[in-house]
Parts: sequence; structure tokens; C-alpha cells
Amino acid sequence: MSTPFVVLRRRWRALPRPAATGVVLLGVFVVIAAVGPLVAPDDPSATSVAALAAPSWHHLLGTTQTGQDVLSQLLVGARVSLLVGTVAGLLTTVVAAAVGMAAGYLRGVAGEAVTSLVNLFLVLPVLPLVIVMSAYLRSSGWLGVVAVIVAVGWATGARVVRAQARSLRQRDFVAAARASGERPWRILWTEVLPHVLPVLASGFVTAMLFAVVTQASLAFIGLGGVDRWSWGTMLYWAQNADAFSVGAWWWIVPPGACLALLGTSLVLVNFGVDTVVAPVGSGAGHRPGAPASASGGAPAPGSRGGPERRTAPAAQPPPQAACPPAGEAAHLAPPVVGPRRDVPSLLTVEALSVVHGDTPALQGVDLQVGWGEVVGIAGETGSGKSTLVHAVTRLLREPSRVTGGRIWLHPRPPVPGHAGVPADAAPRRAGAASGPVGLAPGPAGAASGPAGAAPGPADLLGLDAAALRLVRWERVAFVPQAALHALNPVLPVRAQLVDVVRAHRPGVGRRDAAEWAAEALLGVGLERRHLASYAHELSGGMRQRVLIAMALLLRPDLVVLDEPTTALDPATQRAVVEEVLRLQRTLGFAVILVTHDLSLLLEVADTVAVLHGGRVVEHGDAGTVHRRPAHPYTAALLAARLPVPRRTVGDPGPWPSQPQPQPRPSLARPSLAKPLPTVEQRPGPVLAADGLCKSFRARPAAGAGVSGSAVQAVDGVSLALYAGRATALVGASGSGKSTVARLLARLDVPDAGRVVVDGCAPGRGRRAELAYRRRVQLVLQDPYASLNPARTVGSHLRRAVRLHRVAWAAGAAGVPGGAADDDVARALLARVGLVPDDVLDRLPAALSGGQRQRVAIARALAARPAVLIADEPVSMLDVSVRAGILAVLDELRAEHGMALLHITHDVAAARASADEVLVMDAGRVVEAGPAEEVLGSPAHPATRRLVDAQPDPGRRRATRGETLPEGGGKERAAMGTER
Amino acid sequence: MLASVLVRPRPGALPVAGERRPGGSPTRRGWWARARYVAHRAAFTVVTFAAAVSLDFLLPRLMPGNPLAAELLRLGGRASPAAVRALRLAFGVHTRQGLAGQYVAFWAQLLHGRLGVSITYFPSSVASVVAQSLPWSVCLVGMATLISFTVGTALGVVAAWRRGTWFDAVVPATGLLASVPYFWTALVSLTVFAATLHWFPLSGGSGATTTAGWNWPFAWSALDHAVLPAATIVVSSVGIWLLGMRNMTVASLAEDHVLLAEAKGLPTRRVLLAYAARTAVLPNVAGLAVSLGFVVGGAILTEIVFSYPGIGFVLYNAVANDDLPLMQGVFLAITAAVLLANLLADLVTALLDPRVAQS
Repeated sequence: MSTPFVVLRRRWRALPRPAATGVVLLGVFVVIAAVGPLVAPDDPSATSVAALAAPSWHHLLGTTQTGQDVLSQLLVGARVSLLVGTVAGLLTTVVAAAVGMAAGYLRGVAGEAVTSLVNLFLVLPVLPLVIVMSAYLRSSGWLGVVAVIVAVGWATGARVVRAQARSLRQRDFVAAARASGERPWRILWTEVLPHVLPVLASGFVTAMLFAVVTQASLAFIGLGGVDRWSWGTMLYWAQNADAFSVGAWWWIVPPGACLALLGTSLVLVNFGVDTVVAPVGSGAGHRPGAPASASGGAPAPGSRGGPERRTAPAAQPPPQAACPPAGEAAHLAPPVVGPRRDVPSLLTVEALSVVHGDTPALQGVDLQVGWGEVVGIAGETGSGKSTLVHAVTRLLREPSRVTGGRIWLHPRPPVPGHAGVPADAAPRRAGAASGPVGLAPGPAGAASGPAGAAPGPADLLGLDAAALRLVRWERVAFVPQAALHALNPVLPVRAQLVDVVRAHRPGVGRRDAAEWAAEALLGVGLERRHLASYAHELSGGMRQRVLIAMALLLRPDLVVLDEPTTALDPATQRAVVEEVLRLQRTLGFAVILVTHDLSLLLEVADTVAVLHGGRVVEHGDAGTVHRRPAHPYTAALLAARLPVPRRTVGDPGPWPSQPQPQPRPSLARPSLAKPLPTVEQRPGPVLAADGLCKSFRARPAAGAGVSGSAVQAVDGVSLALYAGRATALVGASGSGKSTVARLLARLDVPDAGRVVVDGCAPGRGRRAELAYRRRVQLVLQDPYASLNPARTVGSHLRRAVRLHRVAWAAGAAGVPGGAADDDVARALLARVGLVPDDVLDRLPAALSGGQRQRVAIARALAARPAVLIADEPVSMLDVSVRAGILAVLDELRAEHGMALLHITHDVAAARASADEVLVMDAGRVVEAGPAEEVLGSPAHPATRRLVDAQPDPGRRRATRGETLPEGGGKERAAMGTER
Repeated sequence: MLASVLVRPRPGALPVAGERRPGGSPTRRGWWARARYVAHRAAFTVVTFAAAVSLDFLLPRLMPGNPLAAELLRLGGRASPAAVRALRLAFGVHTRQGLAGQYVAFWAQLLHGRLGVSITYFPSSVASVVAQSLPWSVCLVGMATLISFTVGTALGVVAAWRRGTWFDAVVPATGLLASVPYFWTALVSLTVFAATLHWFPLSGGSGATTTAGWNWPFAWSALDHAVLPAATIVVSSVGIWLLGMRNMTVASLAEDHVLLAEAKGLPTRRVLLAYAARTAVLPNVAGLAVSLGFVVGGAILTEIVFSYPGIGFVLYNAVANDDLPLMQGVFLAITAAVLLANLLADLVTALLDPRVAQS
């Protein structure tokens, strides 16, 4: 265990140098203020005959007009500055914290009123107000000055605290604490306050700076007592005596310099204050350094791996460079299936290695992209897929660096109808996205290759800025991941499209370029009027279409799509992917499609590469990879994709009496019990909801034109959950699923309808609330947000156990009556498949996403609930860990007879794991019944859309082949998204 | 099986949520939203000003003791009957009206432009003193702030672009300048450039030989007198905008849309100005609102040092002579000016940012 002293010393070492300097400087001033009057050589007010004497041995800093010693005044004056600064700073911070928290937490009119008050005080000119108020309080000395500073200065701090409190209120770990049954004040104290402290500390330093400067200003104009020595008072007398015109610099410079130094020390301290006060693990002290190169970006830092740094002295592109890298270990690396060799190469990535800081991000990656080929790259979090994309597009920024390898871009074949180019690429100009006649955006523009190079392949990594600009967008276009942030928020779509045309075709006029842009939009199923739209006025799917239109403007040879469908709901995802494929068939460009969704790739790609730990572990024809995965990792991914078969209810097993260390669940599926027939006769529902309604005030957002009206998030939802049975609630995003979860977990209050637990309505009050929480618990979607980053796993669990002590007290099955909280916590962790000793003392940040979700489940189990509501419990997790989490939930249901409500958009998972399924759409349950029945033969269009949106390698032919006629994809897309 | 479940498929159920198709032309809707935003901000300005007036009204009535008696005592026999009456009205003592009645009367006086009689500049009214000095301040502080904002913002973009070079290393120093009291910077620059080097006049707003009005000698003299105070304000306040703009631009450079602009092969200049700086400048303009109050406060002190005939100098004289009615009037005038400047900043924001309707 570390003592506070050790902690302090460690934090002092972690302090940035400027902050440390500031602390030392501030310390010096504090010492001066403490001992100044004692060591001052003279009485500061004592006059002498040596008027306006320059600095000498007798008067180290000279004298004033009346012969007073400047040094003595300086030493004595320090006290007032620091006293006023500290006291006013503290009081200001206290007021700011109180008002800020109130404004952040109060809802409704009260919250609005406090917020308005803060805004009002923010814009009032501070100093004039201070002066007027001080003039009234003239006689009350420095305490009056403090009072005025506090009365006027609190607003700045209050605004910051309010913003922080607001953002914390939205955080999932606060919701999770509520759901687990914590009292509001305790949530404020343990969950919120630690995260507000850094803000308060920084606010204190700012307030102190403000107080010091304000006190000096007031003294300078003769308020707050001209007879009490302070630095400001000294300057007041100097100004009144026209010290500057007689050149008495020694009278003016020292007090001002002291003020400046004190102010500087405070500014410096502020640089490091959050490092010291930040809750451990919250990372508030280290802002991620914005990765920008020294020159901003003109030559992207990727170019730093210049020729001299190359390890491979390859002068010629290797003809067939897809030599597989050695896997992680020899015994794990069966021969990798080679990619298709029947199309000529467009892009060859050769032994590419990239480091991110000191950690390798890519190690010897080889990749082959043929003309007109769809190459899929699959990989989970941290596999290096985004690094690969950024390397190919030359967008790597510090601290990522290319350490070896090349990326060859092969020139266009001399004749468009080159033998190697797939036949369907021939009608390049016939597609919907063709430019206006006469503009000739065809391939001829850049066919000569970058920088007039000979028609040989060019190494993208070696291009200088000018040559790179010729390749960018002309040959390689890019569709980035987050469509919301990928469009410039303050420029209309038109400007962003026209920019591309005019940068690459200087001859094209503005009007023609706009026409060109309009045609491009029409080509992706948008309308001309969307030219004038801004990003925030478009839906997610529309934004992604704009980006695709943008990518295709100049008819590139290769389009790189980096997770183009993340953050879109499945139906829109589907529509976007189909749109790209349709255009690809028409225009014949090659595609690199990067995603974590292997099923999607297997359905749509020609060639698939699987990235794992920065290496390509599998590279081959999609069909082959699907049927015969060569690498165990791929096989595991494919297996993880399959739904988890469910167990049936047996005898509720005992709660584990002691920690049962289990191996960390790997990709291997847990062994399955033999299915038993479903228990038919059962009592009434554990939890039932009847006619739940909830509406939210619409945010005046997204140009929806419906601002002010209420959005009916949940509209008359009824459901019933039975012990030992799993119910799935499926629906597209925005259909109201999560709101139902929050209503059932009593995080929100329904507008209408009621929730019935064990056949009777839950009461009001604290006791009834806790009783309810012991029946119904919630697991939230995002395990990265639902655990407080400042608290250890053990602290989360022990707290939850203590809260629901009653549930464990009676010597609940398996756990002895007097079991310590810690033992129960350990048992719970073991129950969800974690090794307690491994995780108990760790912070959430040190755990993987899957481990965190297990901790979140364990916390829910601490209440020994009869009903577990899991709101998209695996959607934020990598595919390979999803199965494990779902298996844990299924075990809990089967072994302890819990009622499980699994909220998901994943139809396959719902179908496999649930007894009953409810389909939600636009706030209503549109279809319900046995899972197999509802999802096997969907009746409602919403259900059908959900089922269709699931990627399915078995549908490969339908999606890729000719069964979808020209334009068919578009119709389908329209049906899926934008009607 | 699930008898309690209501299955009510709604005819024509909505498709995927979040894909609403807004009606009307995007441009028109955008401008409508902007107009609404500006109207909202204008209303806020009015409310804030009303609050400032109320504060001005309440302060003398809330302060401990009997400010009027103290005031009269301090003034001795210098106060004329008119001034005493003005003070009585201002402090609300010895009037038969209740607080509410006084408040209404206060507003009525204010709306007629009557702020009482100044003691310092007796027999001038407060309104006329303010009216005389305000233009000086508005020109000086307004121009200085405009220059400071422009220079600071431009340098901030450069600093962000040249991150890691010597230029960027100098940036924190300008931030430290902001922690130095304005009046001290003013005193030092006055000592060096006016008293020692004689480059600039020592004090005042224009030469004694010129007559105020639209003539060249006056304009030249006024400019000559304004350079040093303005430069002081610029030097002291430029760090605020510089640091803010630099940090915003650095953050903006890492954003996806800037990355995409680079990937599009746009010229470097275009990427920096139209994409990175264009979005980064918005918070800086919004920050103007909060910082302006501080800048104006500092500028007031600068005027005092330079004996500049602006409103800050008037405030100083009012403080020195315990002229409370004048102080109140000056406070209201400064508040009004700052609020109008804020409204202007809001207008600019509405022009630059199509998203204002969202917030």
C-alpha cells in the first residue's frame, strides 16, 4: 500500500516542468508574504529625506517621493495580495462549485434559472462592477474587497463546473450507480465529485489569479484603502506622483514585476494542477496530444520513412508479392491461401511495417489489390486495420511512423479495355456518376501516373507532397469512418464537392464544378437540393452517401472505405454497402473495405485479408476463407459469429460458495448441457409492463422542422418476463428499445403505463426502490462508460454487495451468512468467468472490453435479481468476445432461473438465444411471439428489414451477382433507409 | 403464448428512425434558424441589460449603512441642492415611494436618458458626461480589441500549423502576458516610449491646439494619442485569442474532415484555412463574449494611466471624487457597450456557423 506521502511524491514527479516551476515560484511568494514584514529593512510608511533615490546599498530598491523604502513596501505588500488572493479564490471556488453543481443537476425551471444567472454574470463587464461595488464598501478594508471579488467572480468557475456536471450526468456509470440502487447524495459524493475536483482545483487557481489582479487594480485606482500597503497601492502612489515622468523606474517596476511573477506562477501551476488532483485512471491529466506533424501535414509524416529508412532494398516491385508473413508462431501458421491471381495488380503492399510510438502497429503486412477487385480487410480492435488504411492513404500522423515496406501503385493500363481489366469495368462512363459531358473526368487525366513518372509502379510512401496530390483522389479515394465528423460542419456539401473538382481540374469553372457535384449526388441516390445542405442537416446514411459521391467524383481506380458503416444501424449499413457495390459494378473501381464484420466481408468481397496483431494471418479468396479458414484465428472468428446455443432451465444451481477460478474464456465456446424440454407450466410473470409510454422533448436539432414537439420514444409497450426464460427485444436504432430498458430499470419514469413486479405494483420510497432493485437489474451497453474510471473493480462490487446486503444476509444458498463483502465480490467475479485475484484491484481502464462487461454483469448480480435486463450487452465488443458474454448471460438464466431481457439489434443472436422475441419499431411493439416463428417468417416490414440487414455469407451470390439488376440496389436502399 | 403482449402493427409504420427527410429547402431553413438564433440572443441581451439596471438600482439600497449621509458628509458643503436631490433619488432615501415605486421611477428616468447630475463635473448631467467620453472609449477599445482579435487569431493559426517550431514555443509567453495587470504594462510603456523616448504624447486624447471635429489636424492628433494606449491593450490581450485559436486549430487539425480534406489532395492552404481554421475560429468568436468583459476592464485602467478622455478615466475621476451617480451611469454605459459588442459577435457567429440553430 502506498502512503499519501508516496502518492504525493509520485505525483510531484509526474508534474510537468512548467507546473513545477510555478509551484516553486508560488512557494517563494508565500514565504515572502509570511516573513516579509519581519525582514523588511524599514517601516514601509516611514518617510525620509532621501526622496526618489535610485537603488543603492542603503535602499536596495530606491525610495519613493517621500523617501519611503520601496523594498520594505514590496515585502509588506505581498501579504495583502496573497491573503486576498487565497481567501477570495477559495470562497469564489466554493460559490462556483455550489452554483455550478446546482445548474448542472437541477432540472426544469430551477436549472434553467440558475444557468441564466450564470450566463448573465458572465457577460457583465467585471471590473466596472467591482469598482462600483467597492466604492460603496470603501470603509470595509480588504474583507470588503474579498466580498466584492467573490460576488462578481464566481460565474466563470460556475460555468465550467456546470459543464462538467452536465457531462457527468450523461455518463453511463452514473446511470449504472442509480440502477444498482445508490442514493443520490452518495452518487454525487463518490461518482461525481472526484471528477469535478480537477475542475475545481483549476478553478481555484484561476479565481486566485483573478482576485490578485482585481485587488491590485482596485488599489491602483485608490479603492480598498490607500493606506494599507499592497503592490497595487504602491503603483497608485507612483501614478499619482507622476513617477514615470521623472524616470523613477525603481518605483514602478518592482511591484508590477511581483504581480506579473505571481500571476505567471499561478498560470504555470494551472498547467499541472489537474495532473495532481485528477482521479487515478481517469486520464484527465493527459490530454491526447493532437497528432500533427511539425509542418502540419503538407508532407504527411508517412513520408518520413524515406528511402534511406527502408529496410527492404527492393528496386522493382515483386511480381507476386503476396508471400504470407510468418504467423505468430510456427505451429499456428498454416500456409496462407494466396489471393486471386486472375486479375492484374493495382496496389501492392509489400512488407509494410508501421510503429505507433514504440509499439509496432503493423508488422510486415503484404496485400494485393487487383483492378476492379473488392478486397475486404477484417480485424478487431487493435488489429492495425486503421493504421493500414492510413498508410495506404498516406494519412499517418505522429506518433505513427512507417519503418519499412512499400506500397506500390501500378499505372493504369494504356487502353481502358486492357485485357486485364475486368470486363464489367469497361462501361466506365456509363454510370450514374459520370461527369457532365465535355468535362472529361475520365482516366486520361492522371493516367501518366504521379509526377510524370514513367509508366511503372510508383511507391506511394516515397512520393513528395506535389506528386502525392496528383495521386490523391485521382487514383486513390478515401471514405473515412465517422461520417458525421468527416464532413466539414460549416461548409455546405456543394463547397466540399466543388473543392475536389477545382483542386484537381483547375480548368473547370465554379458553375460547371457544381453541376458535376450535383450529378455525383444523383448517382448515389441523393437529390440536387442536398448540395445546399450542411452535414448536420443530413442523416447518417445520407452523410455516408455524400462521402461516397465525393470519393467517386474523379473516378478513382481505388476507393478505400474505412469502417464505412460503423455507427449506422444495420438497415442503413446494408443500404450503404449495397450502394457501393452497385457503383463498383458499374464503374469498375477497386475497393478496399475495412470492417470488423467478417460476415459482411465474406458476403461481399472477392478477397479477404484478416488482420490480427498487426499481421495478415489470412489472405485469400472469400469463398475459400469461408469454407476452409487456414488460420485458427479466422476459424475462431467464424465460429464466434455463430449464435450461442442456449441451455435450458435446470435446477437453479447454488450460488458459488467460494471463488472458482476459471480460465479466462477464450474463443472456445463453453461446453453445453444437453438440451432439456422447456418447462411448460410456470407461474405468472416476474416482471410485466403494461402500456408503457415515454416521450422526450424534441431537441431543436438536425433541421428536422419538428422542434418543440415531443418525440414519442415509447408508445404503449407491454411485455411480460418469466423466470428462467429469455426474451429478446429487437429493433433498429431509435426504435425505443433502450428507453424501454431504462423504464423497466426505473431510471426513467414512464408518462403512462405501469410496471408490475411479482404481480404487484412497486411502491414508492427508498425501501421500495431497493426492494425493486433486488428484483430487477440492468446491464448497460457500453462497458467502457458504465464503470467509473476512478474506482477499482473491487470497489464497484463491494459497494454493490453492501448495498444489497439483505439479499445475502440470510446465508443465501452457498454463501455463509457472515461472508464478507469481499468474499461475495470474489464469488460474483468467479461466477462471470473472471479470476478474482486478477481483476479485483484493477481499474476499469486496465481491463479489456469483454472483462469490463463481465464486471458490469457481476455488479448487477450483487443484488441477486430475478430479472436481468441486458441492453445491447455485446454490441460494443469485439466479435470474438461476444460469445463468451452471451454464454454467461445464458448460464445465469438457465442455472438460476433468472428472467432475461436481451435487448439487441442482432437478429441472429436473438433468434438463437431467446424463447420469445418482441420487435420494436418507432416506439411500438409491432410483432411478438416465439423467436423462431417471428424471426423465421417475419410478418411486419420492420421485422423483415431487420432480418434482411444481417450479413450472410450464404447470400453472397444474391448480393454480388446479377440477381440484383441495375438500380435494384438503389430501390432496396431507398426502402431500407430513406422513405 | 404471450397474451399480455400487445401487437398493434401500425399502418404505414415509420421506417428506420433517424432518417427523417426534412421539408423545405435547406438554405431557407438554415437562414430561418439563424434568424431565430439572433432573435434569441437579442432577447438575452435585453434581459441582461435589464438585470444590470436592476443591479444598479439595488446596489445603493442593499449596501450597509447610509451611503447618502456618508456621501453628504464627505462632500461637505460642496453639494448643491440639485446634487443632493440627485443623490437622494439615486439612493432612494427620504423618498416617500416604496421600493417598487422607486424601481419604476428609476426606469422612467433611465428611459428618458436622465441619470442624475454628476458631482465631479457639476453641473453637467451624468448622461452628457457619459455621452462625451463614450465615443473615445468605443473607438480606442473597439479598434484595439479588433486588432488584437485579428492578430491573435491569425498568429494562433500559424502557431498551430508550425507546431513544435520556435514560433510555437513562444506562444505560452503571450499567454503569460495576460496575467500581467494592464495598468502596469501601460505604466511601463508610458515610461519607456513617452517619458523617455518621447515617441508618443504623455497623456490626453488629442493635442490641446486641435478642435474636436472632422478635421485633419484633430484626426491625426487623436490617432497619435491613441497608438500607445491601443498598443498596450493589444499586447496585453492578444495572448487570450492567440492561445485559444492555437489550441482550437490544433484540435481541429486532428479532426476527420481535415484529414479527409488532405486526402482529397486539396492545396495545403485551402486545407488549413477553409477546413481547419474555419471551424476553429467559431469558439474563438464565441469566446469573445466572455473575454470582452475582462478586456474592457483592463482597458479602463489603461485609460487612467494615459489620462485618456474615455469612460475609464471618467470612472476614475468619479471614484476619486466619490461621485456615485456618475459611477452608476458609467457602469450602465459600459455594460450596454459590452452587451452590444456581444450581440455583434453573436451575429458574426450566426453568419459563420450554420449549426447555431442546434445549440
